[in-house]
Amino acid sequence: MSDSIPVLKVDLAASTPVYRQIVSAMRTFLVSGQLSPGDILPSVRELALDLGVHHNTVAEAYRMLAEEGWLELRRRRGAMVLYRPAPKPSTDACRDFERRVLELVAEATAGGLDGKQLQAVLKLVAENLLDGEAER
Amino acid sequence: MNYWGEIAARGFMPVAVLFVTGIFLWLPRWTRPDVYFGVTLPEPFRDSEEGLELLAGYRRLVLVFAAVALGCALTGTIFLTNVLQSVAPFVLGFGALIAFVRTHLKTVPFRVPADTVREAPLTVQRGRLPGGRLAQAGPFILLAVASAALALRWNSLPDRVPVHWGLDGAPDGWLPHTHKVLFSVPLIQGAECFLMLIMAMALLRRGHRISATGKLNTGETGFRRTILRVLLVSEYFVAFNGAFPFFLALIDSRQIRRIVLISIIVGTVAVSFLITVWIIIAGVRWSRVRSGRTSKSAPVGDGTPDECWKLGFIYINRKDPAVFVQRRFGIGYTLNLGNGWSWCLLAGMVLIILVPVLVWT
Repeated sequence: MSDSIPVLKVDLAASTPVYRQIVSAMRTFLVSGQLSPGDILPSVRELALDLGVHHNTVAEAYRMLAEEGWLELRRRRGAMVLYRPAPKPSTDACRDFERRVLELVAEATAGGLDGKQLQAVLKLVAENLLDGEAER
Repeated sequence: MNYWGEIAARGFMPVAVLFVTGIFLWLPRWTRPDVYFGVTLPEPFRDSEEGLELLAGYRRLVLVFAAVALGCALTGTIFLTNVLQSVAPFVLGFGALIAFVRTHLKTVPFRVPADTVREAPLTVQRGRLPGGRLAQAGPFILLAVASAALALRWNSLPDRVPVHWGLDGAPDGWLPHTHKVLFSVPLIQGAECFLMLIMAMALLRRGHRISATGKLNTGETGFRRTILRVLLVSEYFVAFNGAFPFFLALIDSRQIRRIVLISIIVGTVAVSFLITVWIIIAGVRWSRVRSGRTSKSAPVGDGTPDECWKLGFIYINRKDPAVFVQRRFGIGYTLNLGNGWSWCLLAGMVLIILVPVLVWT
């Protein structure tokens, strides 16, 4: 784990289900290297308690990340971050990514961001994530 | 004891009524700055004109009930009436509750939506009970020693064993010399200590946390630690209560017994007073921790939805896995009645009250 403890944030009023928010936020920490192989995560109950959500919500998020190969689930003892080599991207994955970025860019453009701003943000995000991946 | 001696002994009640009235008058100011009369509001609201007006109305009503309670306590003291003395704290307690609920209902229209963002550190943060295992085992050791002393003296005990004494050192309460009744005293006190230990563990592991970072987190952690220490001190207090009659019965001299008894009563009052002050100081310190948010952003609140607080002080939220959440009226924690474990704890409390009544009467 990096020096500062990563803090997971979810918005209970957001339209995105909480378990999806947990998966997205944790995947970001994993890819960026803020969570590294060997790190022990809080148990399902502990995390549910802090977030004020049902433990099934957190269990579902952990299960999805475990299926992706990021976590090893340990009964009553939380979860451990695993070493996960990046898989070869499939054509479907590339197409799906392109579609989601397109949606996001359209949303941002509708919100007033111009091309240059978008370019700068995308570049910064990609660099940060790739730095973390290189460290791993 | 003569008349004036009785009055001096009973004079404790009016003093206690005045002390608790002072606490009730200030209680609404000792909550989180963005929770006022059980309602989530922006931090500056409590100091606004409306906020101060609500507080003044609450205080007026508390003072009315406090006057009635004080009247009962004083009359009970002068005329040596037990019933009036016993009624006084109930009048004050219910009066403060009525004043709170009335003001809560008046505060609800000012409610603002609390921040819906929740945060959690992605690290294992299991706290530990204060004092370690030995300190936690202390009350049970004390009761075990008392039980051993009782067993050793079993054959020399009279048919009626004194377990309560008057201020003059003469016994005024007895229990029959049977295993079932006499050993039930340390056993029931042990069960009480055990329940408090379970509550401490539930608070530590199933207590709601408002914030995972920053000043709020530091303040809350410190406050929870204080409450856990108070619980431990209370466990020792209960264990001592269960153990001391058996040690006191060993003292033959009535004069020495009288001195010991008076010391215990003075000590009990002093310890209760100090614990109350200790909790108030911790609560006030915690209530002064600001979230650091601007007045325009949504208040953090206490991390629990307003709609789950019935009448502003009863918390029922089935979606929240927490057993304990911070009180909205008073200092400390309250049970989440939407959680099954809370009902188990409540059932334990009821049993602990009922069992002694059934066994000892």
